[in-house]
Amino acid sequence: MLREDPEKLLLKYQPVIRIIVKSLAYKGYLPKREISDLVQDVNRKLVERMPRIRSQYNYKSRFRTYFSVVVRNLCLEEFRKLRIVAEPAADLYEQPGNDSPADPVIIKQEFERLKRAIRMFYRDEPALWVTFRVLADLDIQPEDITRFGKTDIAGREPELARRLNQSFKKNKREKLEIVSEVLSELDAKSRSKEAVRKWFENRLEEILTLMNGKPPRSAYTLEILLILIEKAESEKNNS
Amino acid sequence: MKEEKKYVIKPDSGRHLGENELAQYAEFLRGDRDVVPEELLLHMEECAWCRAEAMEVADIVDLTDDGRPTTDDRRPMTDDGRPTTNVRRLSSVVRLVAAIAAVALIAWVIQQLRPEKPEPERMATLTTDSTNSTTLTTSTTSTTSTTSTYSTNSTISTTSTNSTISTDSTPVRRKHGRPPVAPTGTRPDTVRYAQAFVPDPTLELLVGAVYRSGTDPKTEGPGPETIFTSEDTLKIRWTPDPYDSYRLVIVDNKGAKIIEVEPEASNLINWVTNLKPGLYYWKFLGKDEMWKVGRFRVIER
Repeated sequence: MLREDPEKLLLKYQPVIRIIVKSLAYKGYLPKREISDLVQDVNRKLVERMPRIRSQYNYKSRFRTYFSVVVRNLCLEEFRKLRIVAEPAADLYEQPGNDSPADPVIIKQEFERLKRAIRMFYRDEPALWVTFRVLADLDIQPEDITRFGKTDIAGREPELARRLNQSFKKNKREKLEIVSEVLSELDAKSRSKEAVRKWFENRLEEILTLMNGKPPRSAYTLEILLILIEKAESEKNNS
Repeated sequence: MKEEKKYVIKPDSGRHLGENELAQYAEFLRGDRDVVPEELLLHMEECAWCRAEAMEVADIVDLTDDGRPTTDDRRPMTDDGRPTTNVRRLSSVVRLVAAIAAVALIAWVIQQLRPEKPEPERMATLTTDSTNSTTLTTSTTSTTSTTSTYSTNSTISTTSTNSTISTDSTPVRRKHGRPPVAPTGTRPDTVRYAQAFVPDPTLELLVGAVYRSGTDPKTEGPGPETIFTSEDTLKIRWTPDPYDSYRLVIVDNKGAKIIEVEPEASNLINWVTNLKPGLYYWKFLGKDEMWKVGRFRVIER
């Protein structure tokens, strides 16, 4: 369809375009009151750019994913200058006081986002998970140590996991000290306690930014992340 | 066989990922694909800018993905990622599916032609073993038997019109050798505690937003990271406009209104935060407009 009938393709992807424009509007990138006009503008730009899209798409991802990236970039490019949050009506966001049945779903989605944020740190991923789990007072299993992929510590995983588990109920500084001792054994080079603390604070700051979005739409802190991790673990064990 | 292409960051996108690479990596993050080139992983590890981009793109793809592959997506890919046009491979699959469908159709026709048997009696039993595991066994008088085992804390209730299975379980905060907490039969407070701190995305957008208006009362209230314990006082001050009237509304992290507070002076509200632990938002409202939204957390004393 991309090569043979781009107009039909554009028609088919109208829901995708609308979703992206709305999503950016609600994030504060675009004025909410002009969503239908913005969709029209995006369509006009997409028609102009279709030959470029056709030639640049490399078929290594699904077309829907690639197209979503293109539409998002187009929106940001076109409407960056309009970045104003429209003033909301006073009681627009007041809702009935019932508990939302979607809460477990939200927890699952947000935990999925956290996993993505941590996954992007690639080689640091196992160390970050161990640190977060220690801070959340969750059990460290030998498999958590195996994920470091260190062959030279083979057989010592239960012992290292046990050492990390000794951090239970200690304060944050003491927990990070224990983590740093274990990480030093898992890394080729020794890491000082201060270096581990700085490394974690650095990573944490970025993970919070990734989770909160830009412009911020959430208010994650370390404490809330730990609650999220604990809650997700609980849901996983329940299911 | 074609030689596998090396990942190359596109020159027209500077040092960062191009649209194709971002799409590919977003699919990796979402778990749609297990493998991406090592060079891409290493670049992501190093590049904070691309990490922010990839996170946003993955969020957007979550919204636009309806879970079904599109016609274009269903096409299998060759080694270099291009869609294959191997019609012969497809036709063998089609033939297999058609054969299965034909067998199923014949079986259905035979079953329809046979005389009807009485419906087997269904029976459900609920048993509890010594380890407190609750077992629901559903069986028929014929040959089938299905057993489902639920966790230690399951309750099952059945009425004549519907059946519900509800599972309550204490959140895990386990260490080696620590047994799970004994069942309580009610939803544990810690679950609600965690839920009470999940931010509301819509209200988060409004926290700290600056509105353009000549009559802004320059509201001053607790900052977004403020933490109260129960019975601390939340203070709001503003510069009043004589033609406006003001009130404070507290909502919880789902946007549900908790309380509305009237000012005790023309430019001041002092309100004692008698609230359960959780994340809350305060909204300072005028007669027709919302002037400011803030956030605070309440924790246990």
